[in-house]
Amino acid sequence: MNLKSFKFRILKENSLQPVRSWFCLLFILGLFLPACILPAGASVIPGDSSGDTCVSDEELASSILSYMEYSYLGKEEPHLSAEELSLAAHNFRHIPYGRVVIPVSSEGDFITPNIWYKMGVPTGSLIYEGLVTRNRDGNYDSWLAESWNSSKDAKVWTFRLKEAKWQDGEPVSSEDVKFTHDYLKDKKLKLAFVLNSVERVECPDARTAIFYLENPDPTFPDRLSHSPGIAIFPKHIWENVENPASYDEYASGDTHFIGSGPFRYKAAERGQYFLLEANEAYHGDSPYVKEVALKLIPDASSRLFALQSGEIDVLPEITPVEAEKLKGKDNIKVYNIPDATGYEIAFNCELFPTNDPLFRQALSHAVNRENASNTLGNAEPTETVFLLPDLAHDFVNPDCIRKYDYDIEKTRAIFKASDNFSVDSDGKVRYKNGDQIHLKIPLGGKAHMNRADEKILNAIKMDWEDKLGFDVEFEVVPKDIYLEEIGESPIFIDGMPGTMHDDVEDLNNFYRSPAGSNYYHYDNPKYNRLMEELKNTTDRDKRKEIGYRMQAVLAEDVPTIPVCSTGTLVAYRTDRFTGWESVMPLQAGILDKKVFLNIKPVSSQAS
Amino acid sequence: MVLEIGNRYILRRFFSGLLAFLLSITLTFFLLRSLPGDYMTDLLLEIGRYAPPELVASFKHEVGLDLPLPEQYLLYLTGILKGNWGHSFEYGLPVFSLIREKLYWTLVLLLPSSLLSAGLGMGFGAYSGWKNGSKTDAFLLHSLVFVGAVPSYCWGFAGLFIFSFRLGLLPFGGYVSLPGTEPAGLFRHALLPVLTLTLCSVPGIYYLMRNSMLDTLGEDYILAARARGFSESRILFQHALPNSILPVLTMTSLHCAHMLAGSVFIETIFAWPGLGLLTYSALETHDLPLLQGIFLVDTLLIIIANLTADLLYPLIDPRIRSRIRGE
Repeated sequence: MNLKSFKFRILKENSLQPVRSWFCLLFILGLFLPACILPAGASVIPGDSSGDTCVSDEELASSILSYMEYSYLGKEEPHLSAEELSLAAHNFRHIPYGRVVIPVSSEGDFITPNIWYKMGVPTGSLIYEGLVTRNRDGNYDSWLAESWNSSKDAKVWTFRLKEAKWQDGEPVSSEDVKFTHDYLKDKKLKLAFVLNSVERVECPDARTAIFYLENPDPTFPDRLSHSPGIAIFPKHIWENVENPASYDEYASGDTHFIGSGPFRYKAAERGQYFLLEANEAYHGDSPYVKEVALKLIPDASSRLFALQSGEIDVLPEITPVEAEKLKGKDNIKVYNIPDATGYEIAFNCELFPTNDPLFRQALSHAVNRENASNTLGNAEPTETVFLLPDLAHDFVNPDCIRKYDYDIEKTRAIFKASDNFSVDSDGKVRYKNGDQIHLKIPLGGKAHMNRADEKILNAIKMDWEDKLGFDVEFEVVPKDIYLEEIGESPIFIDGMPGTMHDDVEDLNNFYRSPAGSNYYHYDNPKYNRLMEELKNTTDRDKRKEIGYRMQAVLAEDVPTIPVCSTGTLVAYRTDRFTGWESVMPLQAGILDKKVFLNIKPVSSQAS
Repeated sequence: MVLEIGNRYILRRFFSGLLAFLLSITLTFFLLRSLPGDYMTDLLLEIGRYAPPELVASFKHEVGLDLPLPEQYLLYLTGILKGNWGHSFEYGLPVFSLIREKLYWTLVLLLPSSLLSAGLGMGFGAYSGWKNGSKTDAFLLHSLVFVGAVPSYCWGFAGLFIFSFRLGLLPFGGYVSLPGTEPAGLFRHALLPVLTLTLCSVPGIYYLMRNSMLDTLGEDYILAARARGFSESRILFQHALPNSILPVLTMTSLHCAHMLAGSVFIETIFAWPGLGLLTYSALETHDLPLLQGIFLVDTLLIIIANLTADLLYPLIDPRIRSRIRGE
């Protein structure tokens, strides 16, 4: 066939005739419209008249009485129907009821085929437990550990275990704790790095596990807790598994996914769903929810449809735009888990011009945090030094808050005082030789989620360009080369999980050890000495005081400008389960044991 | 029949297919290794700011990524020949069994949609070309221009919105319902994705068939047939259709092979765990063995589709058969 004539014919024959095309379009829209205008198909826990999300014995008795008076004496309508009464009894007796369905975006979110590779297991899994996890109050929740303490030098940590059982009925013992440590290291599994500092684990009796560390570590429970933390695994199952990296738990028959947590494996269809059921032999309070189904829905828009239609009960980690779309919809509520991620304008303190502390201080006054937060939607401005007050509490040095308020005049004044810069009559800042300041900022790191870095930069760019005369350019780079790019860039925008801003130990991010540099290429001998002192200090008050001094140094040197923290937006159906908002998970996601031990069914629709 | 085509022809096609296969897997191997980033670094950066170099190095050593490239390549080739495609980093499962499982679900969508789209596309295209200039031709042409102009994911959403969300007639996605809920059956689960894939594939086949038919109708032998007083149906079914269907058949087989990897949008929207979704996830996580395996399967399928078309061609077209014999 002659290609030229072929193409010509296509063009000739396919040339659109506008009227007919519009007719076609209207015809097809006409088909869809009736379906679009058809209607799509806040409750409290039955019997809970006080609204405390619990059904007390008085409340249950009153509901039963009212129902009986209605049934046998013909009195006024009862408080609850028979179905609701049954649900009230379930909630009162703590008998698990209903199924909560949660979407996951990829198969890896069910649970990786080999759980040793699963990140965030102690908090992010409903099946497996760690010893302890940190909570938002800065304290620790105990899971498998009943109590714990450390030696004075924080080199020996002793954990006393609860009387718990694995989900196959075997007792949990300190041998399992020792096994977990040894197995991770013997098999060279990647989570072994969490326990790098552990020299050995000893088990003096079945319920006591002692960790001997190579160096003092006052925050050892924090290390075990999250990001990623360590879960404890059953020795009697895993000691027979030679290669955990290629062990397929889905195909492991009766031994699959045996943990000690509040939910146990019930069924799964690879790539479709993962179904858990309440572990009624759980060593703590058993859940109110009978089943939890994780369902694969990779597409964000499909997840929104699924929530509105009732196919799923909760939708975590939605964007502000999606939250806006869900506003006002029947039986749907959106709430925010604050401080999921902290955003900062970070400096490379070795490169010019950001190696000049005056440059960094000056720019700190040129960041309108309110504006930046507003562009992100669900963000709160933060002016503290690295630590987030809601998570680090009294470890935040109050003297360092609002040290650098938004004030362009102060920016200019600092630049004027510097030997490297000058300010002209229009208020524009130049290098001393008169050259314009050009800043090229790479984007694409963790702050690029929902393009937050781009939004923050756009919010501050106007000030930097229009008021200070900078030339600001940014480029989105693939995440694979982002780390290389920021090594060569004086400024970059970064975003880190809130869990990296919750403890004074996290100030380690600015520590330059003899072994190497840090993320900011920041090196202050005084700061480094304080960090070393902190690492060897176990007393809380003393640590707090050292932390204050470290924050004061950082506030002076400004290796980074904290901008804001964003929360995680979660939408849920109010007609199925309640209790989502009353327990805040430490990490960004809702797949948290504490949350799932707290939620309760509000209607029989939850079944 | 094989003898009719000629052994030399088959052998030549087979060897050119083999050469293309070797070339393709070699290119894929080196291209994948030239990509920046790696699985372990990505994973560790998910947790914190640093990817401890000793952990990354130990992982690379464990999976053989620290070996010199030629050595890795040789191991890869011998692995393929021995049927050992390696283990997926992310899933921890043998790549071959993982791909086989996902390919099955892709084919569940692809086979009916390919048959449907080929049938409808060819039927509409042939009719449109035969009735060139008629109202039906104009309607079909403009409707299918519109259908083809709308991206596949829009059709997917529209279907999901109307039939699952608003009308509640079909399930939201996946191939199976949650236990304890009313089972929808594989047919109802697959209906929307199959129809969407079909809808999006029909226009391409339709254009090709219509234009092929128009070309055929302009040939001298059609004019001769008319001059000889043959009936219109005889001209259509004995002369026009067999001749115009040839290029379309070849293209359709290739089109189906390409759809294997191209159905990622449909698989994402309908939560259908097929090869497209697996490719997307493997790319995201830098799962090198899995990516290699997927590209290997893609290459194989396209080469097989090509080979099939090459072998079918002389069987259908006597002119080519005689040309091969003449060689």
